[in-house]
Amino acid sequence: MKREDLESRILELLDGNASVERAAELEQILRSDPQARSVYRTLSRLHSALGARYEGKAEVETIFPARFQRSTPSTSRWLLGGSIAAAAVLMIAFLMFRKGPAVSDAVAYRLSPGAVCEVSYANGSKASHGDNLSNGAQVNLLGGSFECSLRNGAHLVIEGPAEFYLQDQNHLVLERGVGWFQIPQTAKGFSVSTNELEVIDQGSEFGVLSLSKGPDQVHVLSGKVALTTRIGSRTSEVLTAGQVRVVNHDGTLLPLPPNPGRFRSTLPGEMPYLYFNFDKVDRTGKIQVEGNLPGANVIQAHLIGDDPTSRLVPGAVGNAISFGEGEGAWIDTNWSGFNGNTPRSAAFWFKFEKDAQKTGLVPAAIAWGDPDNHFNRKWKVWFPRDSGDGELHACISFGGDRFYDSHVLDDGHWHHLAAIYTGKTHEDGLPDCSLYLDGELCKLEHQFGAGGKPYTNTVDTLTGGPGDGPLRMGYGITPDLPKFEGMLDEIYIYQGVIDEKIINSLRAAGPPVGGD
Amino acid sequence: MPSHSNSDVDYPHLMPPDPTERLQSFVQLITQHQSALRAYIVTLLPGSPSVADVLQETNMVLWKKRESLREDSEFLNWAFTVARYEVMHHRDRLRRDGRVVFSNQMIELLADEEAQSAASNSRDVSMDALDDCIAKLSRKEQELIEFRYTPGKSLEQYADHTGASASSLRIALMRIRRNLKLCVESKIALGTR
Repeated sequence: MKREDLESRILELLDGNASVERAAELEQILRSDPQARSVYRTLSRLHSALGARYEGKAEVETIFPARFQRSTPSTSRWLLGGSIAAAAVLMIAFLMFRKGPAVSDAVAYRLSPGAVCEVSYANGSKASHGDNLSNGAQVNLLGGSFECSLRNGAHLVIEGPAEFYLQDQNHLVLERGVGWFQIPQTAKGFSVSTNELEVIDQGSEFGVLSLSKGPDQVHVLSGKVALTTRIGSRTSEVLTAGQVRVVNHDGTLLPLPPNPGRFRSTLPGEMPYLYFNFDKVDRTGKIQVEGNLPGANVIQAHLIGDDPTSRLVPGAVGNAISFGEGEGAWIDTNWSGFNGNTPRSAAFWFKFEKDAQKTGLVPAAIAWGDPDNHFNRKWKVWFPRDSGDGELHACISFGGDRFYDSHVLDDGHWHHLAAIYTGKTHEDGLPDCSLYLDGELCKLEHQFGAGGKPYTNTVDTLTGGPGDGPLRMGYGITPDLPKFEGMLDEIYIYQGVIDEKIINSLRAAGPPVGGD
Repeated sequence: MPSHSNSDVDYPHLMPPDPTERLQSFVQLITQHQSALRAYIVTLLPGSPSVADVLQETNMVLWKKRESLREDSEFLNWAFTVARYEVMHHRDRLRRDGRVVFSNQMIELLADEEAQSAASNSRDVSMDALDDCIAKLSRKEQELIEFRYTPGKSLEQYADHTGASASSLRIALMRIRRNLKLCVESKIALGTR
């Protein structure tokens, strides 16, 4: 065949205009002739490049998390077509699960203490707290756990952070999070899908992990399910009790050992928390860590500094630690802290003598995360001196965004502080947080941190990486940084949002306002 | 003191040294190779209207599985593997719909050859070379190419617009694209783009 004819036949195929017979003839030629295949590949690349070029400029503001975009993406025009596709991937993955509201079949749901949950619908309406859950509900569980029994008897508990969509009473889409499902015979056929798999009940109890940092998994606790992957090879398998599968990148399924304790089948009665009790600090500086946060029993805290026992002073409740004695001290832990935009609260007693902490750089009372001030990647509760009035104030810092209270605090008295972050964002993009001083809600003033306006307001506390600090208290003891010149007592850290009732109960054991 | 680990992601286990930098690097990889991925899919699914869908689904899997990528240098081969599976899935659907598709053997043959040339710089059509070559076309030829490849436009519309017959425009389009191919190849061979 002449070269010109071959190219014409190839272009005819690429344009979608070849008949079945002509396409089959061309395939025979291409299969038998490597040079013809080379011509084909060159023309197909040209055809693709022309398609990408003319697909037009579009917003490259992608929904890849904004924090990972370069400030000046060097996308050339021919990448934009693909960038549109790439940029739309996650949005399409989200939208492909969205359907219009089906027939309403509202059911009640419950949240664990301190959970933060937003429910919305395709028509833009948002559910208020206490409303029932209807078909078509899009649920954003920022923190805590969610429990619900559907009309058909299907019972589910979802652990946050999670996002899921109740398509109808027989189908739930778990976009992100961990879910436990118990399906009675009346609900047989109930299905759960994630981006990577679909599980269809056949009379069972099962758990699903839809992870953002790993492949999705299904654990069958009892009964039987039919499992199909939604990517790659689209593998299907029927699983029985005790079997666990993880989705491989090519869509096949790989076995994992069973982990029956992984899934929560009831709501926790209490908000998960850690409690640092300074009543007993031994000579090595080891501090007692209590609480019901999963993994609390392996969390260790140590007071780093000379002669730890000499730092115990009468506190708001029992003993407190005075960090500023002598050369100073701080508390180190092996707990990485809550990450991302997980809702959190920190509540503790503190005391500063007059004129304490008169330094330019101030260590934190409580902090963890990435210290870079150009982003909101840390969680820090501290007491800086105002550069204007010179007074010592309480502050919540995420890194770029900071929120200051106006009360002057170095008065030599014990005060109680509760710092709360809900995981939500205001319409202006600022993180939703609050401070309670001695049980009273404070009016906060927003300022930017040392790095100026952050590159993005998104709160994404980073933990576990080489530059990310674990939880530390009174930290700042380096050759260049001063010591924390205050006292801390009864430190509680909650995974969730504490309310005024909890704050008042924490304060109840301590001294009254203005007391020593 | 040991940090608290997350056993949910111990299999497969890959914790990047710096999560933020790693993700920035991954976004850059996926952006840089979009054109190559698109061309790969077009090569395996000629004439298919599903190229954008397959590319989107491929991107979705790549993003979701980004922690599986061990070395940046493996990205394109890894991405081609994912794309190949998505192509095979779409191919089955297209065949059911009665559309023209390559046989499995042909797709495998082309996919293997594309994967072998993945590291070669000559595999991609240089956009700058293409721009230069399009600039050499006459205005009418540029219009014809634009109508053919712009979503929402068609040769039939151009035929109505110019009064030419659609069949003559198709012949002209074939010639223009053959010439573009020659032009781009010569620029690449000369190293001018």
